[in-house]
Amino acid sequence: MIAYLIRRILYAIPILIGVNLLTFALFFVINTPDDMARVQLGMKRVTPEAIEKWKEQRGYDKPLMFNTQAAGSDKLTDTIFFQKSASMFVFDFGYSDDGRSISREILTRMLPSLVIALPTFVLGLMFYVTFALLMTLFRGTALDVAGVTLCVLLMSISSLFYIIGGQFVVSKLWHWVPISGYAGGADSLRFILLPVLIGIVAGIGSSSRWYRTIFLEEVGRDYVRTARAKGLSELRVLFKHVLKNAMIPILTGVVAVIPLLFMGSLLTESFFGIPGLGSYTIDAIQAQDFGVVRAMVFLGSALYIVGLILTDISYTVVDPRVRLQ
Amino acid sequence: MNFKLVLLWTDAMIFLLLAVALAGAWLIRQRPHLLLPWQRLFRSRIGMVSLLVLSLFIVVGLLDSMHYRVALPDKNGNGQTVYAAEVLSVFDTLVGDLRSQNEKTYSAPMAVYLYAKESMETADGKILREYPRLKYGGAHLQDPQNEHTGDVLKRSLYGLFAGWLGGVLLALLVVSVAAARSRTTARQWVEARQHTPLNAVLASVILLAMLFGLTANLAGAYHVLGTDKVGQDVLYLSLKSIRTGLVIGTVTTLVMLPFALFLGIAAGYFRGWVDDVIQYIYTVLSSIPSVLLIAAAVLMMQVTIEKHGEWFSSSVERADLRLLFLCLILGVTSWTGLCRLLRGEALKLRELEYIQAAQSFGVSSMRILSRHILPNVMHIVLIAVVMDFSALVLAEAVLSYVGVGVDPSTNSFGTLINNARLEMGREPMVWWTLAAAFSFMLVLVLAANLFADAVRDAFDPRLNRTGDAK
Amino acid sequence: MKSGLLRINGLVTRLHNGARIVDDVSFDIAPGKTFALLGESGCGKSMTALSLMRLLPAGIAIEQGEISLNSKDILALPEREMREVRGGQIAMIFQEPGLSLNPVMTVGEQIAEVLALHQGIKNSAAEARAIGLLQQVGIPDAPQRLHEYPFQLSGGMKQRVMIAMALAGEPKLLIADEPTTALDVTIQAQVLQLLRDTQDKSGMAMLLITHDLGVVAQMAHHVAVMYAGQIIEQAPREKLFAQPLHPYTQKLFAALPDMHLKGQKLAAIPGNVPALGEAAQGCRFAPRCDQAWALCHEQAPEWTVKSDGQGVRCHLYNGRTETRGLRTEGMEQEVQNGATPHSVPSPQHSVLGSNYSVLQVKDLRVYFPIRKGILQRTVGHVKAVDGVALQIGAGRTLALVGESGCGKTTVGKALLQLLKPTAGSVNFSGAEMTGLNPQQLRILRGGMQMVFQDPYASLNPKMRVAEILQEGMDALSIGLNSTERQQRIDVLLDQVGLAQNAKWRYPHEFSGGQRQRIAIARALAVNPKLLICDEPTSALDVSVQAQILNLIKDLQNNLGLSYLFITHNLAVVEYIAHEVCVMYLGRIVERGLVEEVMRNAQHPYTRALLSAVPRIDGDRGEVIQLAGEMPSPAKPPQGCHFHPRCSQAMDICRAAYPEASNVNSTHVVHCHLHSGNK
Repeated sequence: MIAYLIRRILYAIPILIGVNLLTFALFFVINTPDDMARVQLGMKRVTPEAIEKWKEQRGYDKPLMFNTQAAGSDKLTDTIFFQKSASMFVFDFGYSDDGRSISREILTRMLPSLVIALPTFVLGLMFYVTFALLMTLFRGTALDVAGVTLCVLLMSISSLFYIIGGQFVVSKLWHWVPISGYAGGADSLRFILLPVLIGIVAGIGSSSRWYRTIFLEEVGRDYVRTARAKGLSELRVLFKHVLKNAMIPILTGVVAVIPLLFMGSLLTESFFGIPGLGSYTIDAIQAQDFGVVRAMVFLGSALYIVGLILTDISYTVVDPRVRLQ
Repeated sequence: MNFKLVLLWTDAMIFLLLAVALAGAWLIRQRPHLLLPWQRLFRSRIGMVSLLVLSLFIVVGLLDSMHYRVALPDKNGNGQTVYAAEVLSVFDTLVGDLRSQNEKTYSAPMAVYLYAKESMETADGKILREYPRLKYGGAHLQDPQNEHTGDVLKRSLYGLFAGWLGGVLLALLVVSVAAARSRTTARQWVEARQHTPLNAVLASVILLAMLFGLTANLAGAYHVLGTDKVGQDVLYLSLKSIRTGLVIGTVTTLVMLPFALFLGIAAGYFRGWVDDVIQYIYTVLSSIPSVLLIAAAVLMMQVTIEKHGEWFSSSVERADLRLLFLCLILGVTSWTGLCRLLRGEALKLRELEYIQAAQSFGVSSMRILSRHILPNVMHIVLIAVVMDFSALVLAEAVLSYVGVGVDPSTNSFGTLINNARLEMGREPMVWWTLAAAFSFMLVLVLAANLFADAVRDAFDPRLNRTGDAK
Repeated sequence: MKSGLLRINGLVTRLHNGARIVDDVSFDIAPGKTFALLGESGCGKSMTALSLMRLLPAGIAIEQGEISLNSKDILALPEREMREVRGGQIAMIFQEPGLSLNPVMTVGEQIAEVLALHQGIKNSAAEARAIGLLQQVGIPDAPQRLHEYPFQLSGGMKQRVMIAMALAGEPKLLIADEPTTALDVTIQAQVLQLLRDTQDKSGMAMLLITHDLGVVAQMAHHVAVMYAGQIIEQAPREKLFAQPLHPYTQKLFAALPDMHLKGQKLAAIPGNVPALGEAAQGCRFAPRCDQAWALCHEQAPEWTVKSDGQGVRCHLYNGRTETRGLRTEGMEQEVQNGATPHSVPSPQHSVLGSNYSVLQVKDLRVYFPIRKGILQRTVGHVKAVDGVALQIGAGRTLALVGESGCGKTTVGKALLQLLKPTAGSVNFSGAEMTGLNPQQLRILRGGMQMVFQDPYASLNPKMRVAEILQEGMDALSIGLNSTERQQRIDVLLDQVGLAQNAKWRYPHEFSGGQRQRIAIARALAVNPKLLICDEPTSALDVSVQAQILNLIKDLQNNLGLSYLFITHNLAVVEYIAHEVCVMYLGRIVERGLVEEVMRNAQHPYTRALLSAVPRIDGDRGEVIQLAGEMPSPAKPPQGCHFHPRCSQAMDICRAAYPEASNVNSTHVVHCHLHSGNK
């Protein structure tokens, strides 16, 4: 088990290097820092001096991979690759275009992201599983058909519609909660209510339907027939036998997502003006702040790998058959 | 009229895809066992009706993918024909005035007056702040106050009736031609198809024809779905958006499929270091949150495009290249899922006895991949492709909102929503653009989802064993 | 049968499309007795059992009939009371113990559930009772096993747990649906013994569902034979085995391979079992019956009970037997399957007794590495095949016998170089096959081919029969051009008894037996000298198995093929093989001519194996019960691999693996009991 985990963590290193090289190539090889500067400063009438200044301010005035002019180890370290990419391995993300420390920004913005994402995740999971169980219990009946139809309909609606529609009805027509904004402390409840609700509703269609498929697959298995042959009631069969087995794919599936909750939701945070990582990302994309985008890419993939490892661990917790080798 | 054909990159891709689909259909018709799941699909009522709706969207998309530039009346100094800078499509020509009849700014659906008040000089020289009449919407009415409702009703009924008539005629035509080809009477032909979704399809044809008649008849005199900020007809914009949605939903697949297919089955079949390398590649790619990867790639592409302005002869081509590139990036981010699925399937298949039989003949690996593994994973590919379509259409809207979607000048549901979003705050509210974009998208995605379900039911061997066992 | 415990009368169960999968089934079960429902796959026997549990899958429903348990109408019970019957009055065990237990609940929890439900026993009392039950079904270390999960138990143990779970509700009737089909013979013997003991002790009745006449002979008091949804014959066991009345029952007995039938053709039943609910006018067996006459095809026979109580559904016995003279009219048979019923003297022994060996294998080893730790270093090996030597003469059949997991299939794959042998030599007609590159190997490939176990997985569903047959010819460049290959395909189809029109059809249009014919034709396409047959008949029904065995023998006689016949079925071995190798845990423990090994087995394992096979003469003999199950090849026991299960184990058995000892020039055994003969 320990050996397995160490191996998984070691395996994460080449993956992160791969991610790093990929983003490096994407940002610095396809286009030169000069091109980036030109676009940032506006294409027209850009003086070479302005470009140089832009590059210098952001540390893009160094050679890409290898600095022939520097001495000693600086030959490797005093380069864009080392300064901008390699340093990310120690979570040193540098500064954004407006001169703030990206690392500090990430730390302060994680909390608001989590405040929205975590309740959405937990309540959503509970709701989807319950809904899927109900559909499974009434499988083959009109209720099941109606449930599935509802799911297909809900999953055909754009997530933008859920947000825009939700804001319009709940906030603008009914004035129940503020349209957008965020405050810390107890006051935050008013602000997070709507985004969480919308987040849950937007996921009903695809999640519930997916879980229903899993439940139905389990219901068809032989051990379920055995349980019925024992004389257990349908409810007991469903809750004691089927649920326990179906939770294995469901739980291990969602565990992968948990670390990514830190990243927040792009749309929700941006529409509701929540100062989390999602809106940070979206602002960076729209402002073409390459430093922040690169940092978020790295953070995202690091969290994804944590998710993969957690998934493996969760298997051993919920499934007695799995022993990690 | 002189014109010059313009083949945009995405047009080429769409027609390539169409050719592939037609070739596939021809191939399938030759092989009864390949036909079997399709026959199951054709027996699904929901599947057929949603396919009908989808095919309407596809027709619009295809018409909108045949581009040309019209010759200008004046020749240039050297006597050569000069073509207009504007790239038009066959669809633009067909809808005619819908494209060109622009108002000044917003107007509500079916409105006769503009949304915003303007200063107008009355006959006696006074300046009034009034809602002015629209230039085109309801322009034929003398007295809009009294005639408007009646005219709309009259036109609606007339349109519905004409549509119904057209639909019925079309249905009769289809049935009699089909009956003639199978040498039976129409009645026998229909009765022989009691257990097929024929009736549902014919009914949908008539309903859709009625809807078409209604819209067409009203659109001649009004802006059925209103106009947007610069006065463009929203119905026209929505219809133009369909092509973008289809391109994103299909071309992306076309781009990613070869990779996913080959790498997936190669990883599963060969295992060992091949598997390790391929797994490494897709773990790296899937570990980056897809929106961020797309954003990073699109940002970089923007820089490249701006640097090489000389590549493009028109803004349409430029926007088109961006669309194509978006498809490429979406393809890169979305192939990993299918690849993993195919790898798993190939791992299972390689242990099957018919593969071992082939190995014991010394059949080459490439041949085993192409003759034994590939045909037996195609159903998974098909299911994945139709399932992905709707997700991609939905993703386009989100990406455009984030600012890394299609070019702002490209008509798409995303740009429509994005432009209209800010108008929600106005009083009275400008709701129609949003409503139109969301409704069109809902119908498209819903039809695609329902069709995907029908395809899965027909093709998934786990769900349907009747055709396979014994 | 007046005091029936369970009484079923006129039971009809239908698919939602109206097809009757159980059609007018009636029988009684007396308390304490075992009633066997015998039939081939798809005949409706499991559906009958599920009907009386009222546990039919969705889309299948009971249409009419009466089922009463202790005179209580089960079909009229509300679902709530029915739940008390399930598990409490009637318990059921299933074919696949591995799938029938909940994988994420401990054994104890699963038993406790029944105790709480039907006995009202909970908590520590339940635990004590559960331990008692586990001990009762012969599970060692019961207190520990209670907290284990099903995956930690072997197949036989799981079936014991299933039985313990069934006993927990103290039912009056136990339904056992193919309880031993998924198990090896030695384990089957243990489980059957357990079922008999339990019945003796508790006095419960048993409904035994099986396709195996041997199991019926050992277990049943009363037998009903089912065919295509109907009971076609019903009698006390002794009567049925002494004098089967229905032609189908007679054929079932005749189709069993056996030593006595060596050199004769088996009485295969032509054609296939009809598909579920396939509507038929007349007798359902008529199309396959060689005694059918016109009436059989027109009118369904009534149930006839003879004066001695033996019931049968056949026109031969319904009093109008005088019409039998007309029966030749209806004898148009599908000659396609070539089932000429009785013996054709075979020339094999005279022609094929040559000493020339086609295949000579020495010290074949196939090891799979076990990797562990951070760097995945190899820490040990699973020795799936550990030093196997064998040789096969031209035109001879060598049977490789062993239980699942002994490595016999691995041997077959290693011979074909589908798996790379770790060590050893495979000499095929003078050429060494190991260590060749793919090009060199390809030249030799045509000589040796394989026929696989599962006819459903061995043919690519996306290829036509002609394409399947042509693949090997293309790969090995056999036949000069496509016309020649097409002609060869026609010849091949003819050889394996398939019609020419099969060429352009796809595998899914064929039944299991026909698919196996195609698989054989595919192997024959490249003119092999040796066919490796890996359990070619174990997925087939008895009647179809006989067809395939006949075909395999015919091909040997006509083409002079050699076979390596890998199987666990000793009856088939007796019938088809010339020599036998018995394999245990990666090694061959005994080899010799078939008569020597079958009649005069020397190794204790071979003896136990032979004694465990249920015989149809109902002779329960002394079954040599083997303790425990085969250990994992990753950790074979020290010394003789068999010693932990051997009743005759001595000190030396624990210390050293026995060398080969010759019983005579052809008969070799690896056992310390015989090391004096060396």
